[in-house]
Amino acid sequence: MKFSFVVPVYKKSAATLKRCLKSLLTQSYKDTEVIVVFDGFDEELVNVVLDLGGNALVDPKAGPLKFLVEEHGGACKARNAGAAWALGDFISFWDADCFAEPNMCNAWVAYLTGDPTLDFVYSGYKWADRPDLAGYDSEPFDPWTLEKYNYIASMFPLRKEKVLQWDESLDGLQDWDFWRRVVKSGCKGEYMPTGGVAYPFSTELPTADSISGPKADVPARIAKVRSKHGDLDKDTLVLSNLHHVNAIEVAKILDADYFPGPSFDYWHTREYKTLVQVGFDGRQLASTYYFLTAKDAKKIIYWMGPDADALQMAPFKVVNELKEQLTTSGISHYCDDQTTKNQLANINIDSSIIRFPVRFNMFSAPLPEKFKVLAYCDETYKPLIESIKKSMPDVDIDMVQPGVQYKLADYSVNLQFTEDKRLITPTRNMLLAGRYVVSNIQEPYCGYVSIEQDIDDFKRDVIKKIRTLMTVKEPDIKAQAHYRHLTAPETFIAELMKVGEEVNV
Amino acid sequence: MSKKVKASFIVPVYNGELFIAEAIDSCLRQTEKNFEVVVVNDGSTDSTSDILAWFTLHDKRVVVLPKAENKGRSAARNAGIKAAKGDILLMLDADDLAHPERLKATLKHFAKHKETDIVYGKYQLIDSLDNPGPVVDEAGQEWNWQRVLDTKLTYIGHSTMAFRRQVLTSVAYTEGEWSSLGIDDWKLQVDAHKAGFKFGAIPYVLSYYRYKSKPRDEKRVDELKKEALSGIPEGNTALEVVS
Repeated sequence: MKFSFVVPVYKKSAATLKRCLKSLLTQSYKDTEVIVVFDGFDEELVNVVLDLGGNALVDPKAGPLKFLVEEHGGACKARNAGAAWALGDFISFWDADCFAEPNMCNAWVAYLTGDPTLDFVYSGYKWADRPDLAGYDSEPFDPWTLEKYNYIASMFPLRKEKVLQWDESLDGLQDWDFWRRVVKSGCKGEYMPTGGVAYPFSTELPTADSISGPKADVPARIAKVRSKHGDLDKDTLVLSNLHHVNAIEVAKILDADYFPGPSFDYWHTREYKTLVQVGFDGRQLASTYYFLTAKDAKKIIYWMGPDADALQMAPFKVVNELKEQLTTSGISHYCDDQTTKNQLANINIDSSIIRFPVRFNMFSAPLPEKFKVLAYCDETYKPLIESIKKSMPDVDIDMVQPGVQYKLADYSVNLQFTEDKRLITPTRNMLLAGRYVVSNIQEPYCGYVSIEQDIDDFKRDVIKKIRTLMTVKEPDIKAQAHYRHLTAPETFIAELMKVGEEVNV
Repeated sequence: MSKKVKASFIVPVYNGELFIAEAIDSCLRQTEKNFEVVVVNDGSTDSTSDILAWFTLHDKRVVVLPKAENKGRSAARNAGIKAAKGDILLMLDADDLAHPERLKATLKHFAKHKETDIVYGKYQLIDSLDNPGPVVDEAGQEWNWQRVLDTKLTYIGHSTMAFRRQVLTSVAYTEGEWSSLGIDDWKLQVDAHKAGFKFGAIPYVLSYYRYKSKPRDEKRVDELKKEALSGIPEGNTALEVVS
């Protein structure tokens, strides 16, 4: 597997270029070539390349480092010129102000050979010379979110046959346009999470001469790409800072635009009729500034449990100020469950309950042949449930271990015993699949067992419920219908998008 | 040819679904290997039967007598003793646990002390979740008949007791009130002493006792014990004393 690095160069310092090229030439993985494309001749920079042993591309003795000089015409023109000469199986369009970790290519190779159907891989990156700044982690591959904003830098290797022409008419967001077209043409990409692979390269912060430098007119650039791709103007914008995955789901259901968190402020290029904030982190008011100060928009906060929990522990002054802002700005408040509603009521925020919507009901199958019980317990309840497990050697009870995956479809019964009396996702999914629940949660069909009794009586109650369920052959159709109705996307949309006074569910 | 069973654990159980599995399991984990576990299901109406069925399917050393009508703990113990094949019989209540070294320590003591007919030892308290409590050292004290007469207490943990077979062919657990009041074990100890059998104390923790206070008619318990120790029924004017 050969990688070609195509490096367009314009107005960079010699030191920067040298650091960049050295990092590509000293990769642990050797099957690479580097094609430097000068976007206009620069003697000092050409000498950097020559000093590193580079040859003109047309030289028959050209080694792994080659260069080409183009008439100045922009980075895209340079990239296209370089790509035409690339010999590799994959092309990486490398920025001259980035430098790679020595085993970057190894990680790429591992992923690309692991799944031969992949056309590209990508990851996050960190900021050069700025250990004080957090790195950028990027996010899992989803063509939908790519249409809303860019999260794939130009640096990532793409299968040569799938490489398209860079759009030379674009001043900026060239990579956003490039990757959107690549993905639309049917390419499959995979995200390399930062946990598994350390940030594979660093990028310098933009300078005055960079494409993304301070003179850049970002709103205009965004508008140009959106116009080119025929992006429709949406009436609704979904925002979030801590609940990224849930917020994307809400945005898809509402057919809205979505931006993740404060660093994407510059994507707010137009006004929206409705703003939906998914989760509200009271400790980061600055990041919700846009939401709080926007005028003439209908505003909705869908509170996530952990955010309401955090508010219970925030200092009085913070909560007071927050309460002011949230109750006087014409915001409608929603949440998933009674526990959160009660917490919000404690700080005089009146909210309505609407279950978080579920689009894909994971499974709907007959009960498994073999009776199995899956048990989710927190530290408080674990000893009790483990004691029950010891009492029932004839029944398969799996206590959930952290880090292990469980196939819900294999279980007839789900136990949930947690201090936090909210339905956790697996329990909710089991109900949506018509499976049975035994828990300390006082919600419909949750097989409630009270802990406010003698320990042995509690154990007997749970045992009795489990043993009765051993004789049941059919799924719980009523539970399934109840929860499917509550979590239906249509129910969610109708509630959030309605005009007029909200009604308590 | 099947090996002769050396020892039998006798476990009566009535509605013991919470702890019977652990109790049986504690017997199966003995370091000394030649034993059987005789479980007597005294007419349980909870899931005890399902649990016992599972054990017989998975371990040949567990012998479950056919489920009888509920006749009380003493009757169940006596039935278990009758069915047991071992020369040494060890008692265990259905919610207690045997220490893994219990059988070994018991057999060792019997082998060393040919004159001893009955052994018992210390026990440790545990709760409903198996959390360990204090060790009851008093339970490991040597048998003292005078103290029994003075206090009406034997201090013996029944779930630590073991007998040579001949003891239990002479003396049986008393059914009826003794059984329903839960003092049939005390009665057996007193009867065994009167019949001349010798007790030996093992100074180690042999079992774990899951203590749960249950209300009972203490007045009646006291009356029965007094009667047993004096040999004179309450209210009877006969002067014959049996020591």
